Amino acid sequence: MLKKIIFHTGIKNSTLITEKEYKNLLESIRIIISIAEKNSIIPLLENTYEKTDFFEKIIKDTEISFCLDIGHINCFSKESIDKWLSIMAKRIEHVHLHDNDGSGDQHAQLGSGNIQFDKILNFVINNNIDITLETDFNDYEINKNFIGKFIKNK
Amino acid sequence: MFNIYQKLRLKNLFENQININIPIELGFEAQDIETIDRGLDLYYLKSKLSDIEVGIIHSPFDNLNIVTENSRIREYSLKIIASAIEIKKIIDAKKNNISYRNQK
Repeated sequence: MLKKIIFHTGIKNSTLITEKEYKNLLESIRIIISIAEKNSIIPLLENTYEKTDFFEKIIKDTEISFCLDIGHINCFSKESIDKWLSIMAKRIEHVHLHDNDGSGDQHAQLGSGNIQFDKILNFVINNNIDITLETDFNDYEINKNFIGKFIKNK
Repeated sequence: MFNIYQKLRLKNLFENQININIPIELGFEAQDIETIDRGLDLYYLKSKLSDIEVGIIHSPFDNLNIVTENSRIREYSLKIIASAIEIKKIIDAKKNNISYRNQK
């Protein structure tokens, strides 16, 4: 059964957004929530290039829940996972996991870049949040084992 | 226990003969959704999805913008996301052999 749809804002720089554009975003989110509810599916907004302060505002102004993308935090927002979690935790319904070295959105194998996964994996485990591996399809077992090892060593 | 999904793009699903027995987050391009929305490739899509557990849909990313003051782009983006949500009917119907067209 299909449960969730994940979508993006499409903006490249959340610090440059105008008041009119922000109003458009709120209206778009309202429309997406309405269509999703009619189809019994949960809509989730995913972070790409945005900063935490922008998402903090969306949390205050809408009821949308979120998919937190850890790879995008590392290469685009450059803010700590702790900061994202402190603002977003209650609204996170899903997590995207992939790795990079901070220079680009490489969607690399978990553990091959410079992301510290312990905080997000603890969050996922403690809150029973589903995750998606956004890595090479053929590396599914390797990445699943990376998570398995973390759980085992806890 | 939480679920672990694997992201898979629809184009990769179409291009490869892969045996998939893991939960999938299915990623679409806007072009895929336009094609499906016109009713094309529905049979092929359903046959491809017949043995796959798709729990999540990932709406297209490139060229969509739900914020812009360009109303044409914003409305197109919302239409694509709405159509992606509609694909739920294809995915949920496949297990029961229900016609998507009859549902629509």
